[in-house]
Amino acid sequence: MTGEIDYLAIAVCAAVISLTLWVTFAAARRSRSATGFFAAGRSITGWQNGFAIAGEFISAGSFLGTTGLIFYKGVDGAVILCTSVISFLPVLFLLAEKMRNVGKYTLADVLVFRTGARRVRVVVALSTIATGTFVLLAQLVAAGVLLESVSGIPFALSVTVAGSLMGIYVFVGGMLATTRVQVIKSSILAVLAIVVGLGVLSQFGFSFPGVLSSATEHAVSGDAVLTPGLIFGETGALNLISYALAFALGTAGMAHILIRFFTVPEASTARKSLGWTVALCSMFYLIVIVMGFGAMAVLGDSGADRVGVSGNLTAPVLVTELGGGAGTIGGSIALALVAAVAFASIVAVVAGVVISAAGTFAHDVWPTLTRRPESPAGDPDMGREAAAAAIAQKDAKDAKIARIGAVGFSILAILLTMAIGDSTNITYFMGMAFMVAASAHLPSLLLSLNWRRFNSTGAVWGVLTGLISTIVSLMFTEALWLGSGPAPLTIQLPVIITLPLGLAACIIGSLVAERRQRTDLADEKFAEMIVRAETGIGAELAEAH
Amino acid sequence: MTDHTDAAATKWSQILTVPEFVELRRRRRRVTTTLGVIAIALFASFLVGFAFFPDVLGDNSVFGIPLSLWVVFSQFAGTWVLVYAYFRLSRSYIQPAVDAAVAAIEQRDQERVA
Repeated sequence: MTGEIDYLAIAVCAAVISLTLWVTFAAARRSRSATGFFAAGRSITGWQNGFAIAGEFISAGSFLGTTGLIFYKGVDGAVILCTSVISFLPVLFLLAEKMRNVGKYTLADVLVFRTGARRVRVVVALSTIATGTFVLLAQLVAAGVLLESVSGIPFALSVTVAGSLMGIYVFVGGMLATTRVQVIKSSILAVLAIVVGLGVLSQFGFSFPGVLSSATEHAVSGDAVLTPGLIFGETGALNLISYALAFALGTAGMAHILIRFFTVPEASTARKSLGWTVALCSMFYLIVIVMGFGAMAVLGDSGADRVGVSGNLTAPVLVTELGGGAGTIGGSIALALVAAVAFASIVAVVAGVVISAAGTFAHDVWPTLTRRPESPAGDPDMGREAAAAAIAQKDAKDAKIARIGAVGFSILAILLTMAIGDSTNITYFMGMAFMVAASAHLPSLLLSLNWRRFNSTGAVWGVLTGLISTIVSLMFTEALWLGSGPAPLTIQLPVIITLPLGLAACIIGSLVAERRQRTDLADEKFAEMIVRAETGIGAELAEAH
Repeated sequence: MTDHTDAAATKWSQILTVPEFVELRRRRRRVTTTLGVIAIALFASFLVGFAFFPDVLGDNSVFGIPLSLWVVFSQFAGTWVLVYAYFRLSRSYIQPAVDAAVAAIEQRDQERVA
């Protein structure tokens, strides 16, 4: 944290990278087929998928940013944590099992199940890639900034290494390697979090009230850290509600989270995997709360000077202190472990986003660009076996294109991150991603799976409205307002406006085009989807090994 | 192609009326609606508390921990309870209906083939 090169931190990071690369190359053989590449052969077990979803979900921002947020803003900083845990409930109740039964490789597969409309694929792909880009930029900027401050590795080098690794994971090992990297990250993170949590509590006789009592004595804002309002007090209830809704509902529309349900063999495994995710995320987030208040208590009155204005260094400074302090062997090892975990967190998240974006590009965008027929098995004279072979051939080609797309996407992300630099507000990129997911994807997905009258026009209108209204509304918030005077919107993440707009566009679009698009065949496809979603009849099968 | 489409047209929409399948949808709707309403109430209680009663939550403590943090912890605990309830109901209430619906559909298909 002095800006000098920390060789121990680099060595631990290198060890973690070596481990992840080893599992990646070990997974390469099983990722040759399309199902192997896109969906890990649908062979991932419940706990593995649960750990992978947690690995995908818990970013470096949760680990480092939220600890700092609680350090400065107290209990308001924990809002994002509890809403994030709750956000898995709509996924569990409404989507996980149905997605597994209906989908194949991408989010668009579910949305076009009934209509087969290519324009829906393209629009969903556009918003999926936009969401992925927001997440990628946020994570890569975080990788550069955090590794520079924690281990002394320059910003550009950190971004290049993280960006290259995500490309390698996906290119070589596909979804299986990505899953294993995420499982490794979650496991390391869980162990480290437990050690740090126990370390904090041990300083106060394992009494959380003791931690809080000491925290309020040293906190920058004193007793106010225990009272809601340090973040949302000035901007009002509407801001709090909209902010909480963005994170509570956004998860259910995140493509890179939802496609994880295609990697398990059956719907019940998809359900079980969410149990593991909720357990792991809950444990980790509760420890983050202990770490945030623990940092106030352990670091004392000089804490604010040591963690910096942003608070992103709260966790590294805290673990260094718990390890024995700066300059000691214990402190250096603790800091090196935090650097490694932060790095592992980032590469695991970005690898998941890249495989989602690359799969979307290959499966949903490329066929449109090349004007390839929607279904190679569409020839009525083709037998069942010939049709299956044609689909397998098409999927294999998609996997090849996705590998190339992953490399291209990685290079583009590295260049974009270099261009926007290290002073970018990464919180807004993550907020934008959650907003697009909640406003564009979620209404379309829920209506597609449940409403008979929903059609392709409704899907296109809804996704586009959600995407555009998110970007436009954010331009009127304080963070992005370029006009003179105060920003017109005092809400940080105006999902309370954009989600109803997306939903209304879905409904209006469907009703406008109903007479044209509602046919007996469309009703039949809806019936087929309902039967498949509820029972798993006709769902994609796991690959035999 | 026409024959195949016509055959499919009768197949799927007819399944929607199979009594076992109707029962499956009823059970799933009942579970998700009930648990969903509880989840919304849980989340709303957190929002209402933080938005409109911040001082009450900050000034009062139980076991040395302020109510504000108890509200945060209640979201975690509530989520665990709801996940557990959903898992249990899925196993004991929905899965038997899924098995019955699948068996009824397969039997129906066999009868059609015969």
